[in-house]
Amino acid sequence: MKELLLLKINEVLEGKNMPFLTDINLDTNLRNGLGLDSFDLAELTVRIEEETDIDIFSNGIVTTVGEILEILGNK
Amino acid sequence: MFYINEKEAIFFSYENLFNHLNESTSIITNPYKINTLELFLNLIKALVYNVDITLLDQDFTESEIISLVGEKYSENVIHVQSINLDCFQTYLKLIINSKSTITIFTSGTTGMPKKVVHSLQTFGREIKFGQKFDSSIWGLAFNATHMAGLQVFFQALFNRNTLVDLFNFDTEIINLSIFKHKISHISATPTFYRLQNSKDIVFNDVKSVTLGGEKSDDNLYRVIKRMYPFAKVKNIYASTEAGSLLCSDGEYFYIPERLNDKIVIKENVLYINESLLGQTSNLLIENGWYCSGDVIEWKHNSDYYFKLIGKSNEMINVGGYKVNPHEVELELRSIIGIKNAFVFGKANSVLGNLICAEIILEKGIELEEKKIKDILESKLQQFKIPRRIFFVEKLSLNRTGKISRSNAKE
Repeated sequence: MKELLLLKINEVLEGKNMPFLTDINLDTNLRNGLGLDSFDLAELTVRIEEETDIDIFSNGIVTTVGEILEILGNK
Repeated sequence: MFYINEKEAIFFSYENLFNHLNESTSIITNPYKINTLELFLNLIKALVYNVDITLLDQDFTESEIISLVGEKYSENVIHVQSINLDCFQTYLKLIINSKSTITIFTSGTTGMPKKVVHSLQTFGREIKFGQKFDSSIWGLAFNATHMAGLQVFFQALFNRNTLVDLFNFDTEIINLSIFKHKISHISATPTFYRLQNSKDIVFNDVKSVTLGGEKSDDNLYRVIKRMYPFAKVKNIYASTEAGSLLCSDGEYFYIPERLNDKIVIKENVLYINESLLGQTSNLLIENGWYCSGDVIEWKHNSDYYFKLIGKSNEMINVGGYKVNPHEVELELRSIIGIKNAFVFGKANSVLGNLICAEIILEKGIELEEKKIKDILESKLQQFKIPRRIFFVEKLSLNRTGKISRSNAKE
C-alpha cells in the first residue's frame, strides 16, 4: 500500500511540475510538507479511490501521509 | 418515401402510409418499445382520430415508467371505425387540424424526466410550408419521442417529405444514409456533428444544417462548413416545455419580434412566459414566468444578439468555484490531436466535485494527461483544469444524444 500511495502522490506532483518523492515518510504533512493544496488533495483522493474504492477524506480532514496509510488499513 | 431506416432495412412509402391508414383500425395510445416507424404510425392515427397519445421513450426503465405514469406499463389499444378516405391529402388535413394532445417527457438531464402535454400548435409553430420544401429529405437525428424529433417529423410529414432515420446509428450508417438518400436537411445536436467529424467526407447534397440542444462553438462551425459546404447553418433554441423559441444568426441568437414580450432575459438568464409552455404540473412558474436555466452572454455592444453559454444547472461547483463544462470542453477541443471531449464533475469529499474529462484522440495521436494539463495552464484558470483525464473510445452519451454530465464514468 505504501508503494501505491507513493505512486499516487507522485502522479499528483507530476501534474504540478514538482519533484517526485522517492520514499514515504509517515510524518510528512500533506500541505506543508508536500505542498498540496485542496485541489491537489481532492485529486489525490480520487486517484486513491480509483484503486482502492476508499475515500480517504470521507471521515474528515487528513493531515499526514501516515494518516492516509492508517485509513487504507496500512496493508 | 415516407420513412427510411437503412439499419433495419425499412422502406415505407406514402402509399404504404395511405393504405395503412385505410386498413388499420387500432391505435396504441401509449407506444413504448416499438420501432420508430410503428411509433409514427400510431401517432398519425391518433391525430387523425383525435385521440390523445403519450409517447414513452424506448429506454425508460420499468421504475421510471411507474414514477412517470403512476403504474406498471401496460399497452393501451383502442379501436376506431375506419373512415376510408380517398387520398392522403385529406388525411393530412385532419392531422393538421387535430385536437389530440401529445404527451412527451423532458430529457431530464438532472433527476427524473418531466411530463409535458402539448397540442399540435406547439409543434406547428415553426413548421414551414411551401414549394421550397416540396423536395426536402430529412435526416432524423433526434429521439422520435422528444420535442426536437417530433418537430422534424411534423416538418417532414406536413410537406410530404421523406424522413431518413439516423438516430443513434453508427457514423458509417449515418454517412451512407446521407449519401444514398440525398438527405437535404439535417437537424441534430452539436454532439452528432462532432462525432461525425471526418476530414475525408463532404456532403454536397445537404442544403440545411440545424444545430440545437446544447452549446455549439466556433470549432464546430468550421467542421460543419467543411463537411457541409453548401448547407445553410442554423442554430435553434427549443425546449421540451415550449418547442422552438429563438432565432439564430450564425452562432448568435435573438428573440423574434412576435415573442418579444414572452421571452425575457434577466441577469443573463432566459425566462419564458407561461403562455408559451405546454401543460405541465411540475415546472416552477413564478409570477407567470418559467426560468429556463439557460445562461446567456450578450454580443459585444449589443442588447439584441446573444450567445447561449450553458445551463445554470450544468455549472459544476468545485470548492465554491463555478465551472462551465462547455468552456473547458471548448479549450480541450481546440488542442491539436483531440477529436472530442466531455467534461464532468466527479463527486469529491474535499471539494464537492472534481473536474474530470473524457477525451477521444484523433487516430494515431498520442497525448499524455500531463501534456494536456500543461497546455490548459495557459488557457484556463487553475480550478477549471480537469484533474483527471480519461482517454476513451466513446463519450458517455445520454438518451437524447446529448452528452450526459451525470452518467459519465471513467
